[in-house]
Amino acid sequence: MYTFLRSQLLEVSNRCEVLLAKIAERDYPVDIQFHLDSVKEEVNGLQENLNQLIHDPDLDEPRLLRNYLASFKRCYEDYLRFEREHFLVLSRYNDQDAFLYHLLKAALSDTNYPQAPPLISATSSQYYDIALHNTPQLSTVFAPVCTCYFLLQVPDLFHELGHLIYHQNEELFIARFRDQLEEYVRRETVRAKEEELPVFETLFKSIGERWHRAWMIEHAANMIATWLVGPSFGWLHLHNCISGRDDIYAPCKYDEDWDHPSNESQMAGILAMLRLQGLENDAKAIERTWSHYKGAFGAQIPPEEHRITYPLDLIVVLAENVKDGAMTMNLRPYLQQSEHPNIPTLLNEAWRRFHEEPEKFCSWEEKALEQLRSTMGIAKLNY
Amino acid sequence: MGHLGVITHRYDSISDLSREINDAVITLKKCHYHLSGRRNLSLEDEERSRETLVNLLLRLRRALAQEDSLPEEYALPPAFVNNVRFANRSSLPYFLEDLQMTISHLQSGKNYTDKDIELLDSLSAIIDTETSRLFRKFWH
Repeated sequence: MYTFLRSQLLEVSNRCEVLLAKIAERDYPVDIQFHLDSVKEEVNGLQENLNQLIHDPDLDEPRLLRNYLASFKRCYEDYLRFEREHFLVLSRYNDQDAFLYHLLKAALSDTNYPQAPPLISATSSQYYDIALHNTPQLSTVFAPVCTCYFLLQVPDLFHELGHLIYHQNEELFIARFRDQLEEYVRRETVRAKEEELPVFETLFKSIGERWHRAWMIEHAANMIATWLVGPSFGWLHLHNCISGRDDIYAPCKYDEDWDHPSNESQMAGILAMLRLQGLENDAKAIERTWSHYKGAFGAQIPPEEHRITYPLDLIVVLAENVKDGAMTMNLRPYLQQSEHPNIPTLLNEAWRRFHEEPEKFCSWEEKALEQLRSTMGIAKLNY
Repeated sequence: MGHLGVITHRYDSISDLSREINDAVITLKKCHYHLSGRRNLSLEDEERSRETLVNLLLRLRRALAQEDSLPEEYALPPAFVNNVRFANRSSLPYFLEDLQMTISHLQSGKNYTDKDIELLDSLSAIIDTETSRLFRKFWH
């Protein structure tokens, strides 16, 4: 007899079957066959799990129901990720996605990244994002729909790549930093307690958690991107800062939304990484421009909580840690790529031309993209 | 840059742990309650599940007791540890005693009790809730 839960499991399995058949109806470029095979393998594994549950004689045993509902939820989450990530990308795969995939593949080869790029899809109505999987070839980058037609925002693609590299090599990039962060939080919490500053005591307790849960990942992804594409990433961050939220020091109080670290601290991390690469002049130029604009956002001097929440010396430790991690992985830094025409140098050339001749930039960009497409064998984008 | 990169990074590690714990608890419960699905399980399946859960409980005990900081590869997702601590905030010393008792039962190979199963179930439920919460955060 099919109980409600068993029927639900069967329904998920059927949906997998239907979507896999839809994917099989299309032809895909040879390049992404590897991803396609991984997706099929993943979905077949999910169907096996579902099948086991469907035929489990104890599925509706009341004493196990809570556990089987948890199993169902994990299966359903796997299914939703397939539907909303892989099926979304594969069922709409087009020339624009192929162009971005080639661009990413070429960039990864330039930077000596040892694996195939993730799937990429120009379907984001917002901005760049990446859905990570423990199986790297299942990770998916979502890019803004217009990515193919402009160059200046492409460095943020390398931030998403930074997330992927970090996800697979976390310890390499943060082990030393994490120890120093824990020591800092421990020391300052004790001091706040001794000095009877309960507000700061609460703040310190939340600082460690925020860095662990989100901030060190975002900072590390920025620093990996800066390692790979140099100043172009700094200039783009500056663009994001002046077009983004007004409070460049937020979040730095314990009750604020804290998914991302403050713009000011992110800029400090990017500048630290540029300096560690020997790109002092570029760092100075970005810093000078940032100083010019940040006054318009209010306080020139950061609030005390910001200094406490994002200590500059710790950010430098993180940059050094990320640099060592990148060197251990043999990821080629931007400076070592500049002898050859490649994607990172093209992105920096784009920002240089944008600064020097903004009125002529648009036509230069169009030609540069046309040439890029032609070297990739994609003569024209259908849009 | 969106927030998927951070959330999926956290989701992947916690969902793997959630499956591992839940599957092991299901196996032990099938054996403990002599359910019909027990026939499909080998002694090795049960032994493996005990080992999985002992390993988890030892790590959890150290994290809750704030003993020496663990090497990262043994660390548990902070959200899981915090939620267990919060759920037992009024009686943490007793919970740690119960945890130790369950570890002993599982390690000795003796029959585990209803109370052990109850404790394991409560941990499985806590990590399930956190996994679902993270998933909702990025796809709902």
